Amino acid sequence: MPCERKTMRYGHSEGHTEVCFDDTGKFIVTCGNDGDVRIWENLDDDPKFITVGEKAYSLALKNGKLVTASSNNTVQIHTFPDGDPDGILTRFTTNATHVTFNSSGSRVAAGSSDFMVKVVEMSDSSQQKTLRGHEAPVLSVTFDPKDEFLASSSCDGSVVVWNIEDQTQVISWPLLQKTNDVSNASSLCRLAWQPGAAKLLAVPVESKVHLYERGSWDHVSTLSDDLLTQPLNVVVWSPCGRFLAAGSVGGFLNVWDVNSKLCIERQKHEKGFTVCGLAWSPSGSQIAYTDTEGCLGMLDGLGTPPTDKPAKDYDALFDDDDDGVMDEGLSDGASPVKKAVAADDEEDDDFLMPLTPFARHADTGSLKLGQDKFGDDDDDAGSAVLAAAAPLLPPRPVYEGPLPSAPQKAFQPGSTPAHLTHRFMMWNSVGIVRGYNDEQDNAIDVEFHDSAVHHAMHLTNSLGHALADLSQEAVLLACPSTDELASKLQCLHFSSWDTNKEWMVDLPQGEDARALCLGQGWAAVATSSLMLRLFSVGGVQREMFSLPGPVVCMAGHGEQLLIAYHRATGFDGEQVLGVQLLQLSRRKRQIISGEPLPLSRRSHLSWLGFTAEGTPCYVDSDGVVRMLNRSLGNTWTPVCNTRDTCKSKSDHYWVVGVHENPQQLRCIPCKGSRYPPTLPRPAVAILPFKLPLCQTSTEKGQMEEQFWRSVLFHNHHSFLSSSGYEVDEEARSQSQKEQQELLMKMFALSCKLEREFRCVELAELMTHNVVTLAIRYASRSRRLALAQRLSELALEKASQIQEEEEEEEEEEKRQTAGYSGHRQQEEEEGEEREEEELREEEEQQETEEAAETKPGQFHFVHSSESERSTEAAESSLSVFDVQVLGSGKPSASSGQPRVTNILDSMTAGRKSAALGGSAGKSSKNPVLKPLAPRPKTKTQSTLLQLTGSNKTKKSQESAEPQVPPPAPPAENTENQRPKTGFQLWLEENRKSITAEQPDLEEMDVIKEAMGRFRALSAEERNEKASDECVEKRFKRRDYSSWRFSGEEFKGQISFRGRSAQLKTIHFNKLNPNS
Amino acid sequence: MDSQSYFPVPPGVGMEENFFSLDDILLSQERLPTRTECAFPRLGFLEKSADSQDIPEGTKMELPLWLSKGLYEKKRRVLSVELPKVYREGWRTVFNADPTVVDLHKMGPYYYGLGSQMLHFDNPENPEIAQTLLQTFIGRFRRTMDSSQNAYNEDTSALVERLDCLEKELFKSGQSGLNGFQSWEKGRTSQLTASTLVLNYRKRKIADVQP
Amino acid sequence: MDPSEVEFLAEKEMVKIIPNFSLDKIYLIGGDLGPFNPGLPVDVPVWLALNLKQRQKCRVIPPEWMDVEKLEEMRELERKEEAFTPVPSPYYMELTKLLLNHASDNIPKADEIRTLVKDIWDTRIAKLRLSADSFISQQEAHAKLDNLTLMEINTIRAFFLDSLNCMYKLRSNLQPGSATGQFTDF
Repeated sequence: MPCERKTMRYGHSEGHTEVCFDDTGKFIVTCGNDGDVRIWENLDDDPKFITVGEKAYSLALKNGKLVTASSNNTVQIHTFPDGDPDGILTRFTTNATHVTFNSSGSRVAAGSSDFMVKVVEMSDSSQQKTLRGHEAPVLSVTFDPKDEFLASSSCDGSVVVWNIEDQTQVISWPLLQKTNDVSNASSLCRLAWQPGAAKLLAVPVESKVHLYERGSWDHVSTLSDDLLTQPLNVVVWSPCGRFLAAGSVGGFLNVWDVNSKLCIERQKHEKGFTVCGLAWSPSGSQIAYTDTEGCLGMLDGLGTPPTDKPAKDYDALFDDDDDGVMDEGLSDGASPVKKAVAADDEEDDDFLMPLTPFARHADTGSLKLGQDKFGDDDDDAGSAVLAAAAPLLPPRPVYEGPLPSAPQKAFQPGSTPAHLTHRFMMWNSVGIVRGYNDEQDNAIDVEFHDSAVHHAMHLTNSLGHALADLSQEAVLLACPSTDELASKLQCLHFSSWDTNKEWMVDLPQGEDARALCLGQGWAAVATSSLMLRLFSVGGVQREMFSLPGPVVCMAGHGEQLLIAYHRATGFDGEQVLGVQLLQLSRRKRQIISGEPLPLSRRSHLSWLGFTAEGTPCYVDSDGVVRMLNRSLGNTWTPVCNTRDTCKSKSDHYWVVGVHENPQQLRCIPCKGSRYPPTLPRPAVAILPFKLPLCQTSTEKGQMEEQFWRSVLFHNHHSFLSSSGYEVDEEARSQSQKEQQELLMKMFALSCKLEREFRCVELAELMTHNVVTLAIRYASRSRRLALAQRLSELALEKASQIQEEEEEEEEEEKRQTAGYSGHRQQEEEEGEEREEEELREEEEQQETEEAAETKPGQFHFVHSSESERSTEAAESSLSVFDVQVLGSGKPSASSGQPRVTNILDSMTAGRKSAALGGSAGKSSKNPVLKPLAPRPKTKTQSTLLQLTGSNKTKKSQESAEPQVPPPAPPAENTENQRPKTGFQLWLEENRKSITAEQPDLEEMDVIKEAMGRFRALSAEERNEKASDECVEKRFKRRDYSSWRFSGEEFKGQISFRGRSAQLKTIHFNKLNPNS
Repeated sequence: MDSQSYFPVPPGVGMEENFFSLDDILLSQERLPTRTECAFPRLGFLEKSADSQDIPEGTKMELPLWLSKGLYEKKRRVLSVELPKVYREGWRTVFNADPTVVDLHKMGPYYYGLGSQMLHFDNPENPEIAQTLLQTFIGRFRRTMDSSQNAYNEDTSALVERLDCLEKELFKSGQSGLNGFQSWEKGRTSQLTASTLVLNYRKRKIADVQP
Repeated sequence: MDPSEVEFLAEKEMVKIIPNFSLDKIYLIGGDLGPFNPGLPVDVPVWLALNLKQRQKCRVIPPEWMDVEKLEEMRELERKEEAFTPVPSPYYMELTKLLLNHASDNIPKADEIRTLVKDIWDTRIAKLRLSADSFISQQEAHAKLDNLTLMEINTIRAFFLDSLNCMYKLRSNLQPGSATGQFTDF
């Protein structure tokens, strides 16, 4: 059997080495004294390496798990080929000498220098069997392919066969020389059990190989070669079970045909170094070997001997009753299925790793095979082998449809996998929770980004908490249940003002916490029994409800709760997730009820949360960040792909937070992994957002991207204001300005490109104000047709606004019954307007008077509030909120001392929103306070003959199509304003007028005053109005709220704050009348 | 940063002697062997060894540099100045061979200064003398530099004793650089204070900014 | 120039910190700093970083070059090369001293870094002396100060300039023409 001996490659430092193939035979994996595991794709390339310890004594690889025995007396698991640490399988008191998988990869056996052999379940390392009996360090262990027995050799000279289940010795042969340590042993005595048939156990004894028969344990034959004089170190079976290879101390490599007992291949190590590692590739055509000098060599071409061996091989494979089968292929092919089933059954095994592409590739196995596998394991499992070893042979008919994918495990967004000894249990915008679980310490560290929130905490983790969440108010921890103890929920409510800062709750028997989250004033936990339990942050049990599927993760923000769960089983690596978004405010409601959560192909969810502004957001394992677009029917828009910025394929970004203003994606760059290590402490990086629009390299594409990004990222303004929170008006108008500027730029660009139709389309997105600019631009660039169309559009917009106003009026009429009829007339008829002005004036005076007599006023306001709140019951909820707050009752949220900045402004905002007075009129339209108009009255009126009252509205349409039109309040205030200004002016000047013309009637005085007032400049008028308003507001504040912060003041001293204020006063007066 | 109340007057080498420099004054006191070329009437008190009232022509006597320099004139040969022996051929050879072995302090602490001054007395060997002075300086430079830059916090008298006066000054400035750096490294530096100008100018003060 | 003045200049270098407090942008004569968000890295001058660090208001992220591997590489290169190699920062010595003295708990392997930087410094100073000596002995007319840092120049400047001064005078002796005005009255 001529085969090619490839040149040796230097791989490790001098000392013991081992080698194996991965399941596909694509990689050769070696380990050595330098503590590295090297992964060779072929002998010519430089290998990748994983450092597993200071020294690696032995390794085994199966199903993407790499098990190594390293110098720190542990047997560790790493993922393959990524090399991420995957936990510790078992420990010995001294180093392990040899590790090996069973044929299916479900168990690992390890022999150690402390005389023990352990058999450990891969899925649950706590299930161990210890085989005691050796009286010296164990040299080698090997599994019976049928998993019944285990053979081991030891320095005490014995080779023992054990019954694994009973942990007893079946038979023991004194075959070897006695020594006291592995390093002194003349041979490593690596045993090997014939794969598949499991009929023969090969034991290297001196320079011969003894074959023992399973069951009878008779020594049936001996393989030897005359040229072999030195002890054999290692024997290994070919995958087909017919050939046996052995490597010896002197560097000889022999291959025997077991049936004929003939030595069919004889090679010598090129330098004569001792062979200490030997592996047969799954395809059977290659043997890799390593020596004690750290070199790796390979014999190639074993599968193509001049004799008709392959045929014979495979004949033997099938003729040989039902035995000549190797099991590796099967387990390989079936593994994903098995994994899936396993994960289904018992959800508490490891953190879900997505199926590797390789695993999917090897999916030629099938469901049927999987069933075979589980049903009658060692019966005719042969076909799977064929898939790997001899694809030419016709496989049995199998199911070839899509395979179900393992549902991803529940996780905490912002945590690293639970099996790591040092891990992040939570990293969010508040702080970091780290978990340590090693020999010295089982502890949890809580650290706050902002040390003003709370000082860092160090907790001993005696309960074994695995889940954590952190908010400005509390730390929430949960541990899984154990045999004796129920799953517990522990909350460190550090912001509590009483002395009891901690509470704990036991979940019912058999219910395990799967995911948890904290909101403002509440905590939620999702459990294994598909339940969601709500608690108040102080520990009161609140609502609970059933989830439609197993939870994946949850996130909380303010009053919002976001839950992702499995809707169904996905296929081909897809996850089928659903999402619920609940509003846990006074009136609870579900905003998103179980809609599918879109994920990238074959990816899983890797982060779920809210932006700092409260918009739901998530990241999938492909690095795509998606954000909820509330203005487009709660759809999800991809806003960033973190993988675009990664330098290498294996780099990832681990997201820790999303901010909409400024637009920041906060994440931690991880080189070559998905998760950051706890040490050295990783630093946060900021990524920009980029909507995946087409052709963003062009100027047009860029501007479009910017525009839509700006629109999307300012949706939260309308959401916040609709929830009754104060919005940062400055940022809001800034964003609108930015959007309008972009539109104008795009407009100009389209003009340049002679795309007039497109120009009109763009103009439709513009506010009324900007349309006039666009008209000017068009007419200046001599596009008269365009200008014409635009002015039509402008008119349309104007009338639209008018309509909206009228609608608003209607609404109002309904509410304020008889009174509003009067009002409407007043709108239309100039004469009556003046009368109205007078009325208003009186009303205001009344209000002011009332303000001076506090108790009475309070009563007045209060009654009006309560009256209106009954009305509000049938309208919007948030209005109700606002009003209740506005009436001066202490609110739950305002009592919270610790809230995020945003929440801070929220609570403050609620108060001021009510005070500001939009509440008064907003019973119909609670949403928005009027926006700042940037009055271009002159251009408007000249160009379009618009009434002054129309000018405010334009800004909104493009920005918040979803939001109820903001126009009416604006409109009203507009109407209100000149009157008020006049009134005020009149107050001041009435005397002088009457003095000048004492004979005038009251009506005439007013007319005269009107004349004079009109003669005043606009500035003067405004000034008057504004001074007065501010003053009034202060008075009003006196009684409506004793809490008064500078921030509110700032927010109010704006043009629109003033006008809204006036409106309120007006209404407070009016309502009792109706 | 110099806190001294007066500016030290450095020694001049060559032409521009400093009037106030002590080193230069001491240098000017260096005695030179001279021979009178004419009789100096009534100046016999200068020559203590003779009793005559006048100094006759041809008298060999030592005069300080300042006096010989004053009396020396090219045209009227009043007196001739002989080279001190360090500047003569024999010593020049020594200097050219290895300047570092010579104890310049002993050779007259103002070797360079006096040497430069000697060039004023038109000596046929002047170019050689100037060359030797320069070469000597260059030759000894490395040693001066190394010793001044390395001797931190130790007794430097041994290092200094063989140096010429000029070299001592250099040594000192080298030491100041080293000491400055070392004390900075050890964190023993002085505190920096804002210049009084800035303080008087009253830039923004935090009290002014905050209402 | 005093080394502490050089240090003062070095304190204007920017360094990344992770603040644990929240503050809006602050407007200083030297430029705007911030905004400071807890947990989010931000660039500030060294003086501010150290001030905040001393008040335990931040963690300092060491500059990229302050890393054992990179410095080792630099040291090897510095030893190998005849000329001065480019340094990672014009104030590498000052920054090392400042950051290691005040924020060594945020810098992994602080001691090794200190030794390495000192090694680099010593190598460079030795080179500097060597080249100063050859500059003098060859009586060169000009020298390039590429890649030299302020602190390095500062340690040797006083001595070197004085020496050059003396040399200039001794050299001017060589030219008899320049001996005008040599008669000074004492």
